[in-house]
Amino acid sequence: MNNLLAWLDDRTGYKALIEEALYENIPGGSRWRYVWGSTLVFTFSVQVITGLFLWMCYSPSSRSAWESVYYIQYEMQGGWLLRGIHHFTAQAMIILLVLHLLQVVIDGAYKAPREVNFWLGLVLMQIVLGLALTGYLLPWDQKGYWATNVATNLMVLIPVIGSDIQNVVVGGPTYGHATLTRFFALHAGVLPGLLILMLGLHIAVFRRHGIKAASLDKRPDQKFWPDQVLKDAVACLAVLVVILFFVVRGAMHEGPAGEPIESRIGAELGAPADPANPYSAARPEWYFLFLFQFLKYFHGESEVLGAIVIPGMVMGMLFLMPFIGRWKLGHGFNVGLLVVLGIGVAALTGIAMVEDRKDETYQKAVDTAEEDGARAIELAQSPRGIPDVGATSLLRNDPKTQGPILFTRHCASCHAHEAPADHGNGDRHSISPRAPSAPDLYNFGSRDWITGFLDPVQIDQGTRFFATTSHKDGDMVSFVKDTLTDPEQWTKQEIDAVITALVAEAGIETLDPNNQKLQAQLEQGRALLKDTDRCAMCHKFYDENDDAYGPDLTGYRSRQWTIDFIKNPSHERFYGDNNDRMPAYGKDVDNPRNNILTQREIELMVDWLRGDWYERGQSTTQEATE
Amino acid sequence: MADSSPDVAENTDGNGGEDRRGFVTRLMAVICGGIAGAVPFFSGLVVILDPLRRKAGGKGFLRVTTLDSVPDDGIARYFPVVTDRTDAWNRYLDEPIGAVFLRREPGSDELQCLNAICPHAGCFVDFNIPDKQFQCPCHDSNFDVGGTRINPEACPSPRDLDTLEIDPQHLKEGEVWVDFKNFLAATPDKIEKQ
Repeated sequence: MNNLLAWLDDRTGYKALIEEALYENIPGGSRWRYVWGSTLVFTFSVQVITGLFLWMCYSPSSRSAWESVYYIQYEMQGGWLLRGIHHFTAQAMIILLVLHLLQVVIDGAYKAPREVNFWLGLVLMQIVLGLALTGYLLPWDQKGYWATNVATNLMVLIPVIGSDIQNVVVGGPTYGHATLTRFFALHAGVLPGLLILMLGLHIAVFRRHGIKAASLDKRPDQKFWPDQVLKDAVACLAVLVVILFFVVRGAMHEGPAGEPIESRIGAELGAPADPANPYSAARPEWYFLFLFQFLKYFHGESEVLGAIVIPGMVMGMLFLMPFIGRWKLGHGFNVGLLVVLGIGVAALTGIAMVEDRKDETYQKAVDTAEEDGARAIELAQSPRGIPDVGATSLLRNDPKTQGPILFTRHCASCHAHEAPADHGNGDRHSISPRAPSAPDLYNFGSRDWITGFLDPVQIDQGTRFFATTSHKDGDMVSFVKDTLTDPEQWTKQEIDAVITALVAEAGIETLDPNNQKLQAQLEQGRALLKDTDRCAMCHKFYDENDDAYGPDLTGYRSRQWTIDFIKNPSHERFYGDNNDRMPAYGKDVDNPRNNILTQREIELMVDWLRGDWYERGQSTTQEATE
Repeated sequence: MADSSPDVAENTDGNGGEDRRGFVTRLMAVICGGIAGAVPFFSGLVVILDPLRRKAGGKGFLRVTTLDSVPDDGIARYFPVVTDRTDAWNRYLDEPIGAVFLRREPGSDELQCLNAICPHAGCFVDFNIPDKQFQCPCHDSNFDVGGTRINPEACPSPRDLDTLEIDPQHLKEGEVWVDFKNFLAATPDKIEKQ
C-alpha cells in the first residue's frame, strides 16, 4: 500500500498538494474568528450540490418552470427539503458575506499586501448578488416575476445602451421563454463558473499572504489541520442547523384545514406568473429591500442617481478602501464608512418594512397573493391536474378566483354581493358598491334567497331584491305584497311549495329524493307554477304560457338560465322591454368579438355566483362534469 | 534603455534576426490562439444578441370593449387587452397581453385610455375609487384621474401615465379599439418598447 502511494506521489505530487492545503501555518493558533471565510465556501458548496440536483428536476420555460418547481415542492419526495436548503442557504450566504466583509475591513486585512484579494472578494460579492437576483425569477411565480420585472425595467437607466442591455437580458421586449433560458444559464452556468474561478484566485492569493493575525499575543502557532479545520467544521455545522431550522420552521404551526404541509415548509411558491394579472405585493427579497426603499426617494429624472450612480459610487468607495487605508486616518475612515453604510442599509430596510406593515392596501395585496398561491396549488393537486397549456390557466379558468374579479369589474357598479362574515371564502367574495341600485346576488337562487324574495316584508326593503330599479314598483312587488298575503288566495303551504319548486329549478341546493314530504311539495309547487291562474298568468313555465311578459321560470336561476339572462336580459324570455338598465353582455351570437364578455367569462361568473367550483377533496372538478 | 548592460546590448546587436523571429512567433501565437477562442465565443454572442435584431412593432388597433361598458361616471375602469401573443417558439391565441384604464366624463362620448403600466418601473397601477387616483403599489407613484402626476417633484415616476390612441371610427360605432403599445419604463420620454 505504502509503495503504491509512494508511486502515486512520484507521478502526481499529491502529497505536496495536501501538505499545502492542510498544513498552512496559522500565526497565534486557530481561532473561532477565522471561521467566516470557510462558512462561505461551505454555503457555496451547499448551493452547488443542491443546485445540481434541482437542475435535474427543473425545466426553464414559461410553460414549465412553475410547473416543474411545483412538482419538486409538492410531489417529489423530499423536494421541499432540497428547495428549502437551496433557498435559505442563499440568504445565509448574503449574511455571511456581510460578516466576512465587516471583519476584513475592521481587522485591516484589506491593506497591503492583500489589496488584490480584497478586490477579488468584492467581485465575489457582486457575483453572489447576481446569483440571488437571477434565482429569484426561476420559479416563475408572481412574486419573482414582478419583482424581477422592476429590476430589469430599471436597466434602462444605464446610459446609452440601457435599453439594449435590457432587451438582451430579457430576451425580447417582454418576459417569456427566452427570459427563463437566459436567467437559468446565468444562474446555473455563467455566474457559478465565474464564482468558482474567482474563489480559486481568492483562496490562492489568501494562502500566498497567509491569515491576518488577529492579535499579537504570545500563543504558539498552529497548523490549519486539525485545530482550525475542527473549528471551521463546527461553524459550518452550526450554519447548517440554522438553515435547517428555517426550512422546517413552518411545520411548527398549524395551517388551514386540508392545506398540504409542503405549503409551509421549504421555500415558498406563489401563484404562477401571469403577465396580465397585476401583482400589487411585488417586493424584492429582504436583502434588496433597502435598495427598493432607497429608490422611493429619487423622483423623475434623478432616478438614475438612486438606481445607478450612488450604488456605483458606494461600490467604488469599497474598491478604493485599500488606497484610502494608506493614510494615517484612512483605516478609521474606512471603518466609519462601513458603519454608516450598515446603519443606512438597516434603517432603509426597517423603514420599508414598517411602511409596508402600516400600508393596508399592501397588506391586502399580500393576502390576495397568498390566497392565489394556495388556490393555484389546490387546483394543481385536483384530479384534473395542470393542463398542457400551463399552470397560468389554473387561476384564469377558476370561478372562485375570477368570479369576484369579473363581478367587481362588470357588475359591481349596480349589484352587490354581500357575503356574511363567516361564509369562509375570504374577503374578496364580499363586494359592496357604494349605492347598489340592483339586486344583491349573494346566494342568489338558494332557498334563503327565494324565500326572502317571496316575503312581503323583505321584497321591497333595502337593496337585496329589486333595490332601486323600476321593478321596485312593478307587478311582482304588488303581487307579493297584496296577493300572497291574502290567505284566501295563497296558503302558506302553497307558497312553500312554489319555493321548493323554484329551488329545484335553480339546482344549487339538491332536494333529498327520499324525503316524501319534500317531493310532494315539489309536485304541488310545479303544478302551481304551471297554473295559468297562479304563476303562469304572467310567467312561462315549460310549455305553459308562451306569451308571458314576466321572466321565464323554466330552469329559473339554473346555470344556463343565468348565463342566457346575462347575455341578454332584454330578451323576450326575460324582461323584454321592461328591462331596466341592465346591459346585454353577450347578445351577438354570430360575432362573439362584439360582446362585452366572452362566453367563458360569463360562465366563470355564473359558476362563481352559484358557488360551483372545485374544492380540495372533491373527486371531479366542475369542468370535468360538464 | 540608457543604462542597459553591455551584455544585453551585445545580444541585441548580435541576434537581431532571432529577435524578430521571436516577435513574429509570439504575434502568431496570440493571433492563432485568439482566433481559436474567438470563433466559438462570437458564434455564441451573435445568437444571444438576437433580440436586438427583432423589432416587435405595434399590433395596430385592438378591440378592447364596447362604449357601453364604460359608464360616463368619470371612474377609470380596468380592461385587459386580448390578442394573439407570440412567446419565442409558442403562439398563444387570444391571451391578455396587457391592460388599459378607460374613463368617460359624465355626458361625454369621448374616452380617455391609459396604459395600466406605471412608467416608473413597470408595475401595474390601481385605480383608487374613493380618492379618484391612480396609485402604483410598488414605489408609491400617484396620478390624478387624468393620469397626470399629482406631485411631479415627489413622484418616483419620470412621466405621466402613458395615453393610448383610440380609433375614432370604431368609437362612433360604439366600440373601443385601442392602439396598444408598451413604453420603456424609467425614462422621461415616452419611447415605445421595441
